[in-house]
Amino acid sequence: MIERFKTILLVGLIGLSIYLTYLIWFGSPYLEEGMLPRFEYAYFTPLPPPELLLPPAKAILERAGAQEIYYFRRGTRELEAVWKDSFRFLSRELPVALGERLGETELAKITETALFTLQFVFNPPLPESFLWGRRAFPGELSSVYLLKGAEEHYVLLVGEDKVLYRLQAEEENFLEGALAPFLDQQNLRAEKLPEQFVLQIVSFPDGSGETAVSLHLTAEEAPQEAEEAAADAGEGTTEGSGEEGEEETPGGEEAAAAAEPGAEEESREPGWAGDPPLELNGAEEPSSGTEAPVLEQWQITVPQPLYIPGKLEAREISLVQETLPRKDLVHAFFLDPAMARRIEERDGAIYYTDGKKGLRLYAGGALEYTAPGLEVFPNRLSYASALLQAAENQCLYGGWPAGTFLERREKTSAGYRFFWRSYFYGLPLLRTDSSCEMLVNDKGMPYYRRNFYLYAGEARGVFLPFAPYTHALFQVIALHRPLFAGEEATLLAVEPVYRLLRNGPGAGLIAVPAWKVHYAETGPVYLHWYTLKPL
Amino acid sequence: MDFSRAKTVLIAAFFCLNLFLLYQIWLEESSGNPGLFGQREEVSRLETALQEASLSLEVSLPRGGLRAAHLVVMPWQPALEEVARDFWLFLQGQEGDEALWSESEFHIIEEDEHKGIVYSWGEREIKMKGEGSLSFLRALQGLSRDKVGVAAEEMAKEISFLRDFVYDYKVEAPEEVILRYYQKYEGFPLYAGYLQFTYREGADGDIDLYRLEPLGFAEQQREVIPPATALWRFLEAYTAKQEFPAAIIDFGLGYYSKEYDAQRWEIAPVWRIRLSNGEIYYINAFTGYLEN
Repeated sequence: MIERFKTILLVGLIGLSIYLTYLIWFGSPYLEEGMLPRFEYAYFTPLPPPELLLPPAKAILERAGAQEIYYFRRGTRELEAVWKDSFRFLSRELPVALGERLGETELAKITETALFTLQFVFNPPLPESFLWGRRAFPGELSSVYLLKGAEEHYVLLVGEDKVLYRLQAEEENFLEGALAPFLDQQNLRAEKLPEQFVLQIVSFPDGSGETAVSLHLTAEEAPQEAEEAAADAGEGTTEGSGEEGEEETPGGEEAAAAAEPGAEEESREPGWAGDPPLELNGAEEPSSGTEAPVLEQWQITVPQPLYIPGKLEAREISLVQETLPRKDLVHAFFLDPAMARRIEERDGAIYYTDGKKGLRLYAGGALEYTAPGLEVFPNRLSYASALLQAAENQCLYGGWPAGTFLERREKTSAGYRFFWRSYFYGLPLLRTDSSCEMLVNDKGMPYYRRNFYLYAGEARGVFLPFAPYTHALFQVIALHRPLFAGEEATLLAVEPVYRLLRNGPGAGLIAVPAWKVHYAETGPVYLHWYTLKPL
Repeated sequence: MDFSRAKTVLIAAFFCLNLFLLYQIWLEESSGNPGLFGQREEVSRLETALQEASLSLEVSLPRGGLRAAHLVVMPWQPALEEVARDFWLFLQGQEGDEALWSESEFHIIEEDEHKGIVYSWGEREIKMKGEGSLSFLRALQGLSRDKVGVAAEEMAKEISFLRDFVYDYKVEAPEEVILRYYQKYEGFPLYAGYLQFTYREGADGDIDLYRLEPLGFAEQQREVIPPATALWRFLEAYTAKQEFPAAIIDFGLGYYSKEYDAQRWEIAPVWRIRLSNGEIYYINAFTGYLEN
C-alpha cells in the first residue's frame, strides 16, 4: 500500500517539475493575451434578415400603360411584404435566368409594352451581391424592375449597367400573385406628376359677390388632357362641395390669405381626391362649361419623376428620446469595461475612454463614439461588406429600432459613412440631423453617433387627411413669392413627412405630419399637413 | 536492488527540485519579468529595440505584479482670492501682514471664453482657465537663479494647498530654469496635478498650478501591465520619429490624465517614462495605450 502511494507521489512530483520547468522556460502568458477571451458580443437586437438590411426606398407599380399607378412607401407593411416576396423570388430565379445586355431601344420597347411594371428604387443603392447571395457581384443597383410582357416575364437590374433577365415560364405568375392583395387598396394608388404642368389659380364670383379661387393642375404638353383634367376637377368640385359646407378648416385660411389677400375663409373637401380645386368663401365653383378668369398661371417643371401617394391620413404623435442601459452600452463598446475610465462632464454627459476610443453618453440619451486610431486612408472595404458590418454594429451598439432605415451613404476615402432615419406610419421623421450616423472602414468603426426618437405610445388628436398637394404647392409659392422669377418654378420634391417639433420648453417632442415641398427656388419648405401653415 | 529506498530518494530529490523551481517562479513574478530563460530573451530583445530607437535605459525597471484601481478626482475649485492672498503672504515674507492684503488690488481685468479669467494682483496677474489650471504671472520677483529651488521648496512646504506636492524634476536651460512638482495621493504620484516654477534670467518668473481633488480609488482593482510590456508599448509609439540619442531617466507608476473641464472623472494608472531630452510619455498601465 505504501509502495503504491510512493509511486503515485513520485509520478506526481515528476509531472509537477516538468510543468514548472515549462513555466520558467516560456513564462506566463502576457496579461493582454489573457484578457482577449473575456470579450463577448452582446447584441441589443438581432441582425435583420438580408432583405431588410436595405429595403427599397419605394416601389412603383404601373399597370396598363401607366394608367394605374400604385405607390409603396418605405416603412409600410405593404412595401415590406412585396419586397420580401420579390427578394426571395429574385434570389431563387436570377441564378438560373439568362442575362443579356440590350440596347436602349430594345429595352425601351420591352418596358413600354409591359403590362405590369414593378420598380423597386434603392437609395442608397443595393449591393448586387445581396440578390445573388454571393460576393462575386460587386455592382450596386439603383433600381430593380419586374416586368410582365405580353409573352415573357423579365427582371431588369439597373446599376452602372442595365442587365435584362428572361424568366422561366413557370415563374410567370409570380408578379400578379405577389401583388394581388394590394391591387384593390385605394391608399396605394398614386399619381405621377408630369414633367411640366401648369398650376392655375382661377377666380370666379361666388354668391355673395366676392371672388373665390380655384387651383388647377394641367399637363402643359397635352392640351386635350389638360381640358379633361380641368373638367374632372370641376366635377370633383361639384361632388365635393356638398360635403364641404359641413366642415371648415382654419388652416386653409392661411393658404387662402396667401393666395388671395381679399379672401377671408376657406372651405374644402377634407379628403385627398387627386386634383381637387381649392374653394374659398364656401363658394361653389362654376360648372365646367363656365370660363373663369385665370388669376395666376404657374409653369412648374419637374426634372425627375415625382409620385404623389394616394389618400393619406395622419395625426401628430408624441416622441421620446431613446435611452439605452448605460452599463450594457459600455460593455458593448469596450473590451473590458473596467479599462474604461468615466468622466462626468459639466453638461451632464458621461464620457468613457480607455485612451484609444471614447464613448460620450449625453444626458438626453444620445451617444457619440470615436476611435481615431481606426481611421484609415484609403479604405479598402467593399460597399457590401461595409453595409453588413454597419448593420452588425448597429445591432451590437444599441440595436436596430423598428421603423429605422438606412437612408444615405457617403463613400469617402476614410470609409463608408452611413445615415439612418426613423419612419412612423410610413412617413420619414425629418429633423435637422439624421437619427444615426456611422463610419465603417476595413479597420472597424472610427465614428458612431446615435440619437433616435421613439414613439412614446401617445397619439395626439385624430387622424386628418393631408391637404391636397396642389394647395401645398401653391402655398409655398404664395409664402415665398419674391424668390421666384416670373411665374415659373422647378419642383424637386413634394412628399408627406413627419416634422420633429419641440412642444414648448420641457414639454417633450412631437412629430407633426407635414407636406415637404422643395422648389429649386425656395429650398425645402414644410407645411402643416392639414392647415398648410408653415412649420 | 531496494526499489523502495530508491523511490524515497527520488521523491525527496524531486520535492527539493520543485521547491527550487517554485521559488524561481515566485522571484520572477514579483519582479515583473516573464521568466528565467524568457527573461533573458526578453531583455535581449528589449535592448536591441532600445538601441534601434537610439535610446538607453539608465534606470532599472520597477517591480511588476502590482494591482491598482482607477483614481476618482474632481477639479480643485478654490476661492481664487484666498489662493492669491496665500501666495501674496508667502512672497511678502516677514513683512507679510494679512491686514495689508488689499482686496481692491485683486480684480478681474479680462474674461474670455478661451483664455479664461485674468485677475490683476498688484503688478502680478493670475489666469484661471476653465478646467481649473492657474498661472501666476510675474509671481517670482527679485529671485536669483540659485535661490529659486529654495523658494520653491519653502513655498511647497508653507502654503497649505501645496503641501501634497512633491519635487519631481528640474529642467535647466541657459536662460531658464523649470522646477516641476507633482501632486501625491496615498503614496502614488498624481502626475496630472502639477506645480511648476519657471525662472527666467532677467525677468520675473511664473508659477503654474493645476491641483486635483482626489475623491478616492474606484472599487475594482486589477493587475497593471508589467514595466517591460509598458516599455514595449512605449517603443512602438516612439521608434519611428527620433533622430537624436536619448536616455530613459525615469520610469515610474503613477496617475495621469489630461486636464478636463468636467465635474469628476476617473484617472487610470500609468507608467511614466521620462527621457533625457525632456519628453515625457505616459503608458496606460491597464491598457498599454499611449496617453495623449
